[in-house]
Amino acid sequence: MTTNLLPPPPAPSARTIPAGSYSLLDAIKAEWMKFRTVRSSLWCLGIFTIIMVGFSALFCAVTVNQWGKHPEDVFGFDPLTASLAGVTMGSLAIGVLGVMVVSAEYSTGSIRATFAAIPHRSTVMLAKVLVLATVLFITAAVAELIAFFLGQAILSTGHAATLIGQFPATHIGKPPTVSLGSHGVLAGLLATDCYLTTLAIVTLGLGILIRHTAGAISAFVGVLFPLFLIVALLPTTFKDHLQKFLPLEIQQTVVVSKPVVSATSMSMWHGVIAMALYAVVLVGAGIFFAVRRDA
Amino acid sequence: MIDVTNLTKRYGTKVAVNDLSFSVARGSVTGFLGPNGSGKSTTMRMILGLDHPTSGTATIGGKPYRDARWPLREVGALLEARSIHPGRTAYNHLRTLAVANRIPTSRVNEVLRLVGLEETAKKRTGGFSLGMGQRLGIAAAMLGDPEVLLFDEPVNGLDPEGIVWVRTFLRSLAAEGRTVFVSSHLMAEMALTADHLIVIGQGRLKAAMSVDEFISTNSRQRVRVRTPDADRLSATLSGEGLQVAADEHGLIVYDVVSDRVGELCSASNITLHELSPMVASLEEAFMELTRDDVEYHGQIEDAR
Repeated sequence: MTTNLLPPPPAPSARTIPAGSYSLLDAIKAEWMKFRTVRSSLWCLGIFTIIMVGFSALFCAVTVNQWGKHPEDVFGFDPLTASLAGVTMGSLAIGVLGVMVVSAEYSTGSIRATFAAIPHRSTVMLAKVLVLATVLFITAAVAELIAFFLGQAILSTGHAATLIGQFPATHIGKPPTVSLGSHGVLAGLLATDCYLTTLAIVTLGLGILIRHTAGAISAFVGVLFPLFLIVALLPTTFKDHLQKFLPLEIQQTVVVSKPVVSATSMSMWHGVIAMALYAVVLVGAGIFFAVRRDA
Repeated sequence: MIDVTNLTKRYGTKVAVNDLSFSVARGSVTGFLGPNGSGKSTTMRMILGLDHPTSGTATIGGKPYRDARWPLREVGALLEARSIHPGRTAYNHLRTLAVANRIPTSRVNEVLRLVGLEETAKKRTGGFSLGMGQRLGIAAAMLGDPEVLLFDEPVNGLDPEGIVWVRTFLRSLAAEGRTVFVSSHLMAEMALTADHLIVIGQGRLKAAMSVDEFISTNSRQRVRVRTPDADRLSATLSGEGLQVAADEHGLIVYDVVSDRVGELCSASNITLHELSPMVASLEEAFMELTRDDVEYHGQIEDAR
């Protein structure tokens, strides 16, 4: 750094402090600027989109290639689910993003600068929720639409097939495709968008509660995956009651165009509402502690 | 402007700040002195509402910081230099703060110029040196052109030219009528910068006085005298109106030059074994004041 002698500081300009006070809107503007001025957020969104589109292309291409060879892949085939095959892996990128939005500030100490500018911590956290929810809702919608159109285009290249090993031989035709106007497609896309958005808020809540990036990501991955495996090992009576509340299980009923009919799972919109409740509880608990803890 | 009343902060059984009360006046630089770990940063964070006191209050302009309408326009603060996301540029860091308090973006360029960071404003702060981080922190504090300023160890990591600049800068802020509260563990630096001193040790108030007062009480001219005839010398010196104190090594005579003590001894036929002038530095006076309160004694001190 050059060490040129610095000029003496100028006299303060005539200070005029505007009337009123900072508002939630000011906090939202600041959070939005923070969000888009670090690379990690753009990286996470980019990786999420690539996963969504890439998995759609891969899954649909494999479907076309293997069509008719495995009966279990044919019955109950949902073209929308196939073109949104990246949701599970994409959730990881979103979870990391949700956690980082707040944990990066705690781990770098920049949360102190944030709270110095906006001392009401609930306002800061609410602004983070609103910014992340908006960004995620739009990004997920775009990623879903690209994945959807690409996936359906790949599926439409499929050839009619006859199920092998069945007697009498069953003609199953070409792999089915759906369009935006098909029954249940828009609802499925919207519910998936809501699912991904609420998932991001859930992880943001984890970030506020746990404050450490690694810890919060571990908690998120721990909730999303191992808990699923543990519940799967429980006796049926418990499993049937518990399993439907797990995010991954909710995902199975949300990312569809044909409703999943099962006595042990929630309906599509109940699943979305459950995710929203998780988000409210975690962010609420996070704010409760953030206000009381030392920054 | 800043009022701290019976402020206490406990972490478990450890008391970081212990029933601390002081106030900081406007229009002057008030130095906040204490050894490392004496509770300076904790106190400053409590003034800014970042840490919650166990008991007691801290207000700025009569109200707690969290009630400020436009916090950055009312109070500017430099906390640890590394309160910055390393992936964001200096310019964007300041812009996010400006936006939060509706401070015009033009002001961002002004404060960057003020601290001499225009050249590096578009670089990400992860690559900044400690000194550049401090300059960015000062820029952030000045962003809202506030009346009240708090600086926690602002000269840490600065080169000598930067230290002189900060000193001049703090003095000019006070001259403009602002309230400047600045912490340091370096007495010599505060003697040059501050008007008033608040000295703490282990979270307790040790002294609150003007710098001039501190200097005059702690840097008195003293002369050490060793003599086999201490009683007679003591009487002679007292008779001359001089203040004399005895310690295990002999006598200490205050506010006198050694020449005069020597002449008095000679006139009274008193044998001298030692006659040596002593001038305590401010740093020594400060160390004396907080001696029992230093959290981490160095190896040299232990070896003594």
